Amino acid sequence: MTGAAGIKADDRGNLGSVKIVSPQREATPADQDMATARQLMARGAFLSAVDFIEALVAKYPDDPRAADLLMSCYLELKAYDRAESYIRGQIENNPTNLKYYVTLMSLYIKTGNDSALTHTVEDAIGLFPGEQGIYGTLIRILLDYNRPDIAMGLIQKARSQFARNDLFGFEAGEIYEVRMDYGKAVYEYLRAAEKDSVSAETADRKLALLVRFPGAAPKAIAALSQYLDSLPDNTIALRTLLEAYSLNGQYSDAFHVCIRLDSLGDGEGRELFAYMRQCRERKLYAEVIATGDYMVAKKIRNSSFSQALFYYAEALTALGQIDRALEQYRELASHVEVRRDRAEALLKIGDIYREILNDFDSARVYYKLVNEEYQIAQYNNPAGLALAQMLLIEGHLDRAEESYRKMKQRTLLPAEAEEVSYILAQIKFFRKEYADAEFAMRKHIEEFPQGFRVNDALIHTLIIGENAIASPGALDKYAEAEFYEMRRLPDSMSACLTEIRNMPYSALYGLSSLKLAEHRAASGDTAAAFDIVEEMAGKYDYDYFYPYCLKLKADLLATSESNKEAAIRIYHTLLSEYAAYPFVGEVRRSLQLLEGYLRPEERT
Amino acid sequence: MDNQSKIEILKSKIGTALLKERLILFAAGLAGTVAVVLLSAIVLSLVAGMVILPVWAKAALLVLSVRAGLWAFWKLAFEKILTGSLEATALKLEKNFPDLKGRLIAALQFSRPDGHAYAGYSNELMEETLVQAYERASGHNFNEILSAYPIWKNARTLGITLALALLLLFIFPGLFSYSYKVYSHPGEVIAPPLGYTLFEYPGSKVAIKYRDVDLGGILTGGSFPEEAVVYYRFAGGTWQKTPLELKSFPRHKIDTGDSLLFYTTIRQVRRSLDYYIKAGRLTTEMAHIDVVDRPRVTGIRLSLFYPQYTGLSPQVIDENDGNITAVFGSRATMQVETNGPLQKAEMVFSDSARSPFKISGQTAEQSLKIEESKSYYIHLVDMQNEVNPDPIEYYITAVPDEYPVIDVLSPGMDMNLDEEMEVPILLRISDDYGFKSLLLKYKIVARGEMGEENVAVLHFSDNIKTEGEVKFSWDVEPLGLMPSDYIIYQFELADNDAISGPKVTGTRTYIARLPSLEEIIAQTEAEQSEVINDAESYLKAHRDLSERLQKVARNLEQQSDRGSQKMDWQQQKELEEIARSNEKIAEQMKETARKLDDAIKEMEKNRMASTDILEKLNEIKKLFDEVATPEMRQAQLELMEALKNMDQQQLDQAMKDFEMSQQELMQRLDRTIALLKKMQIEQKVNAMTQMARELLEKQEKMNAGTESSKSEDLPSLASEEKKLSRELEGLKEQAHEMRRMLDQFAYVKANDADKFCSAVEKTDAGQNMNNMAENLNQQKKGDALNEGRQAASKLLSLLDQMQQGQSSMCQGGGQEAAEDMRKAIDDINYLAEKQEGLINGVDKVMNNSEVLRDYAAQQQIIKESVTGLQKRLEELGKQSPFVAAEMGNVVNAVVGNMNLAIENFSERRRPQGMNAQKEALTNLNRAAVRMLDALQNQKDCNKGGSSCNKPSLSMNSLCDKQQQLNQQTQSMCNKPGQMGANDPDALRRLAGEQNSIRKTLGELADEFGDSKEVLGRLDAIADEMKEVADALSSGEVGPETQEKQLRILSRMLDATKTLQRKDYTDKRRATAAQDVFRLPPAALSGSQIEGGLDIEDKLRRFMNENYPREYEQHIKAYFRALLEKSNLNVVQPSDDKE
Repeated sequence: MTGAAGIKADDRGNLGSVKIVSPQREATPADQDMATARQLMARGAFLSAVDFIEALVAKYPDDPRAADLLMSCYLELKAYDRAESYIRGQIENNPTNLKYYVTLMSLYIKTGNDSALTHTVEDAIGLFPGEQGIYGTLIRILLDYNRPDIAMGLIQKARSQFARNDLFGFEAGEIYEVRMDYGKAVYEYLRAAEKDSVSAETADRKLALLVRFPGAAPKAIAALSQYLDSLPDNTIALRTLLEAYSLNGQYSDAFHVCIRLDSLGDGEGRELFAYMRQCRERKLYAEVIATGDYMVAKKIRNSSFSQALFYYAEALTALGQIDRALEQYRELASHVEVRRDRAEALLKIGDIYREILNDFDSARVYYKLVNEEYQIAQYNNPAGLALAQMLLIEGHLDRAEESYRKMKQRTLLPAEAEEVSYILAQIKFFRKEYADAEFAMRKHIEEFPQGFRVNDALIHTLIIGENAIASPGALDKYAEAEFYEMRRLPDSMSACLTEIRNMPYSALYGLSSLKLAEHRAASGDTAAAFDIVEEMAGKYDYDYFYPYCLKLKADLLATSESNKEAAIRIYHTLLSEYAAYPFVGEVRRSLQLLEGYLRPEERT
Repeated sequence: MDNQSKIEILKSKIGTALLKERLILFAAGLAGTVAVVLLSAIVLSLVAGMVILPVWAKAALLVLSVRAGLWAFWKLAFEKILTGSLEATALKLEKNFPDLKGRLIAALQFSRPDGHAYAGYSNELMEETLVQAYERASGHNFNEILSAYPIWKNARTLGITLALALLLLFIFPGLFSYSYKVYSHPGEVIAPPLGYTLFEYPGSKVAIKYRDVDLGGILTGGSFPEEAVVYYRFAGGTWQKTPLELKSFPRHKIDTGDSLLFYTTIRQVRRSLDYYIKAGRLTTEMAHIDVVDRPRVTGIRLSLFYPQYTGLSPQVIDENDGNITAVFGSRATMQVETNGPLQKAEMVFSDSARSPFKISGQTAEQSLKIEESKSYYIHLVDMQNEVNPDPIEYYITAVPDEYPVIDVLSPGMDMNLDEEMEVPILLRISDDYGFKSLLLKYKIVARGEMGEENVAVLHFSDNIKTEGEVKFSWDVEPLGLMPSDYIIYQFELADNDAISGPKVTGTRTYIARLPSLEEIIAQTEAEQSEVINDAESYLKAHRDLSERLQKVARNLEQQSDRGSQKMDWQQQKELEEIARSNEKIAEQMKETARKLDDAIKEMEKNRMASTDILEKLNEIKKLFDEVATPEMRQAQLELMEALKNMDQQQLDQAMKDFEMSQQELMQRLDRTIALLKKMQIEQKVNAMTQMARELLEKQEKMNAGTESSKSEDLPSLASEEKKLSRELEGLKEQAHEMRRMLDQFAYVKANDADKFCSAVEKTDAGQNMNNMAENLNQQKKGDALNEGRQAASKLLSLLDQMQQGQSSMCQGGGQEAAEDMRKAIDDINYLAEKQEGLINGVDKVMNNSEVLRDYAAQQQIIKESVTGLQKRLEELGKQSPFVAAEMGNVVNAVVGNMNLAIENFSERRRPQGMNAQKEALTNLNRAAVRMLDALQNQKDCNKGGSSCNKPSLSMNSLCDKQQQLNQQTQSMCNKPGQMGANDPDALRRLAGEQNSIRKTLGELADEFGDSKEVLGRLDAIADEMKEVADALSSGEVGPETQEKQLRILSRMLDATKTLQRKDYTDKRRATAAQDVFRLPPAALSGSQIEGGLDIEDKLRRFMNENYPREYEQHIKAYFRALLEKSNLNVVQPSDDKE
């Protein structure tokens, strides 16, 4: 309660919000003098201020404010010599006041006087022998002023003085990270983690960031392995290693570490499931399947087993093992006890028939089953939307529209409602009712300002506005192309896009080219994709989408080792000539990848 | 004698004694009764003599008296006859005669017929007793027991009473007679007769209002009462009384006794009253005092008859006002109404002269002539000889005929003429009796020389008789003013005084000056520079404030490190000072915004800027208004509040918010300054192009003048040509100035600007101008003309280059901005898609998953891209004012959201991270929508207005075509070998294109309707186009044709600009809604409808007439409707049949 004159309740007598009230102190002559000095400084009259404050320092030798003001003036005037002599004078008068040492350190850092800086640091330490805290303060200041070298010296000195190698582990780790000495950094963090739970949490975060730093994983793996040699049961190290292996693409090693971790626990496969989930989240489906196989083989049945089977089936689907996936889902649908799981399994089967096998009749059976047997909105609504979408894919615009309108009557999740609204607008676009489509798109933007489809609606609005009068033919073709795309008729879509490209230049040229090139690339015809990019470069390199096409080309080239250099060149071009484009972050990343900094799984 | 007889005798004897006794007592009783009656009479008389008995008292007394008399008779007389008995008498006798010793009584008792009661006595005894009684009684005289004393006693009382009565009779002789009168009339109040009489004073009379009135009475005679009461009642009031002590009033002896006048005074009586007096038993009759006013004037009615020349009709003023104000020579008839009949009435003037009224009852009248101003009052004498009190002094004002008054409400000051070349004039004129004429006198000062005075008679509405406003627009275009020339003008107004001659009032002289373009430009630039300087100073001030704030924050932080949680007094003051300064700057910014607004209005007026620039400037002004947002103001208030509360935590937060708001403010200010500077350059470009255009026109005019002038007149033109040369130098200086501006500002179109300036700097038309001036001086007409034409040609070429530069910098800039905006939308779209993908990815990730950290890294990549977008938008904001000021905030929010997402994912906090991601996506969407709005506005601005159908758009498109045609022609001429003059087909094609443009231009001219200004310009252009087309067709293509084409383009651009301004002005002009009533056309008659057969013919005929294009479709629709109607009529019968 220092400085508090008293405590009183607020005006309403609310004791729950008691305030500490300080009395208004009347300004002393010293206050007034200081104010004058500040005013001089505020007006930039530092020279006058110096004279005035020096007199104040003499007048109020014990008032630290005068000293602070004088110091500020010296620094403003870059009168470092006078500042130094003044601070030294102050240190003589107040040898135990650390503040002056810190000020002096900052002065030497500013002037680049390293030797004096070192001496000052030593002097400061010498003043407080045996005190660890002083080391910490000085180290932090040095790190703040970006002087890791001296800070590291100080850390080592502290460790040696106090005979403790774990001192200032986080600070040392940061310094090693800056020096790209990731192995040592890992060591420092791991050692620091042993201190307490808070430190362990900090260390975990720092280690996670470290292993994600481009190029850091291999060194981190080596250091972690080495560390685990001496401390094989250290879970932090093991988890970090697991993460590092995963990030570095060493999935087999990662799996072994996972088993090791699981064995350290209850051995009920919890760690395995976590790893499986993590791989699924990273779309490492092969690893998901491998882990699933292991769990099945080892007959590990924990509480997450059915979920694991879902992941397993999902991974099989993703890797094209449709029959096995269907078998898994059917198994789930018929044997799982939880009703929701059965509904989900049926829905997944429907999705496979719809999305992969294009067997809409079979898909409809499952979706209808879900709709009829399981009155759960979470599954019902997706089933209903899938049924409507299939009508659209089949080209039944009217029926699809009717289905979507019916869906609109249901209680939908916001995302589902947004999708319905957007598709209804899109149907108008497919019908080439541009005015209605534009209106519907605008309405959609108004109704779902936070939605995922706002940008699509907005772009369609622009496309219609720009082309409806200027290039009606191109717009018609583009609408057709989108409809074909929706109907999964890539050749027709390509034909339409090609037609647009063959028309006189329009605002849709670039977008059509990009879409076409992407389609060609996706269908493996990279040469055709390159041709499109080349043609654009020759004719319409000013088009907004040209850099996107260029990036696509670079992305395609980057997949081949032999074309790496060409890709790098394009990326550099993109960075230098199209730096304002929103893909620069990705380009930089790709460039780092090509230059060998990125972990392999990011190459997919 | 037997015993019986004895007893009888005895009884008889005793009875006789008894009777005698009874008679004596009765006699005595009668005397007593008389005494009582007499005494009652005395008492009653005394009572009646002493008081005037009311009836009831009198009756009561009489009843009492009668009852007393009867009671006395009963008790004293009658009852005595009935009293006594034989036995009692016997006993009395035995008592008087002791020897009888009971024998008498016993004998009487034993002789009773009911003797058995004495059964115990023997007969003998009884007989014996009887005998003895008889015997012994016989010896006695029973009369001895009788006494006259009762008679005596009552007689004495009666005597005394009689004596008393006699005494009273002696003393009050009339007492008994009065008493008899009183009591003999028991139903009336009988009073004793009085000795005085009473009269009211002053009786019924008339009193004067507000004077004192005495009310009272006069008593004569004697025995006056001691008090009298005056009763009075004002009209409509209640009775009031005033008692008066009569002894206080003096008595006077008169023949019939005394006389006494008594009264009370009623002060300042205002209303009539009734009164009566009561004195003693006398009450006067009611009298009436009629209170009347003193004579006074109750109404004045004036009839004024003005002199004929004033044209004023007689006027009757019935306002009870005796003041007379009339023009000198008027006659006034005054009629005065008074409150009562008068003896006399007269006007008494200040010079003691009197003028009597003719009196008729309560009305007095007289007539007088208004010849001088003086005062008077009306003197009245009524029938009571009362004069009217305090008469009002009135004034007669003889008004002389005044000078007419004229005020110049608009312009009311010296003014600069704008391109309209009109002086808007609004005069307010007034005169007492009308006007004779209103003149405009002006002199033109051209090139420093003052011309002769011109006089124009201004006719104004007949409705304006004595005052009104005269509004007209003085078109000074025909005066042929040149820049820097001016007109000195004034107005003169004459009145219609026919007696002493018209009096004339003149206004001060005003100047209407046609400023030179340089002056307008200089003024505009100065105003804008001032705004920019202001804005820069605010930016600097805010930077200073920000630094100061940071310093305080640092100090606080240091203090906090040292363990002190409190802010010292100085820091508090410093923060207060910062907040105050901030507020002050905000106020100054408002003022600057106002200045900018004024400047925009001035530009609009002077037509100094094109529509798009005006729109942009208006947008910038809005930005200026929005620089200080409500959030900033809130931040400041919170800071002040925190300072007041001394709550450290609150203060820290408030300081952070305030600092952020300062940063935002600086960003906005920075952007505004950049936009202003850009606009300044664009304006400069526009102004310089306009200068060049004017220069060209002047040079062409000079050439024409030279051609038509005689040789000896040529030297007089030389100075004018020199002036043109100087103006060209001025243009070059403007180019230099523009370069200076470009040096200070990173203008995006720096290359175009450089070309623009270079074109001006490099032109050597000035040399030709100087040569021409030289030749003019030397009267070498041919040479001069040659040089002049060369100068014009070079100026035309310069103008072409400048217009191209202008197009590229000003209009093209807008298009580029629109394209950039479009790209920005695509960028945002791309990022939104990426963000969406990321959200979908995270959606599948479990809470606390390690994979979240991967997403943090991916989010980081998108964030980096957003940072790029942020910069792009920042730059775009500096290019176009249509980018919403809040766009920066929205994108900042996106970055903030993404940072938050990254942080949360790094900590494996999925829900929080996802929320931040979604928020980022929402903000991206918002940014896209905002940008879409900005794009729309920018496009509208680029089109020169908000509507796509404006004729100006068509003109713009036509200008582009003409420009292409010019380039093609130029290309042919410069490459004769390839496709030049030798290629007649190509030339014919160009001629066809030129004709096509001309035709479209003609159609456009039809659409422009009433815009005569534009029409005039287009007519001239069309003629030149025809000449060009002819030249191209005939293959006679040369520099002359090219020059013509350049001129055509220049004029078309000029016309476009005019149209745009017109659109803009119309758009900006607010009009109030009006109810417009239109009578619907009468229904078509049957014959009209039936005449559908020739409807198509009519349609064809109408279509052949030159209706404006926009009417065509309406005409067609009308005829279509008619046709449908007629078809219906034809088809209906067949339907019926079916």
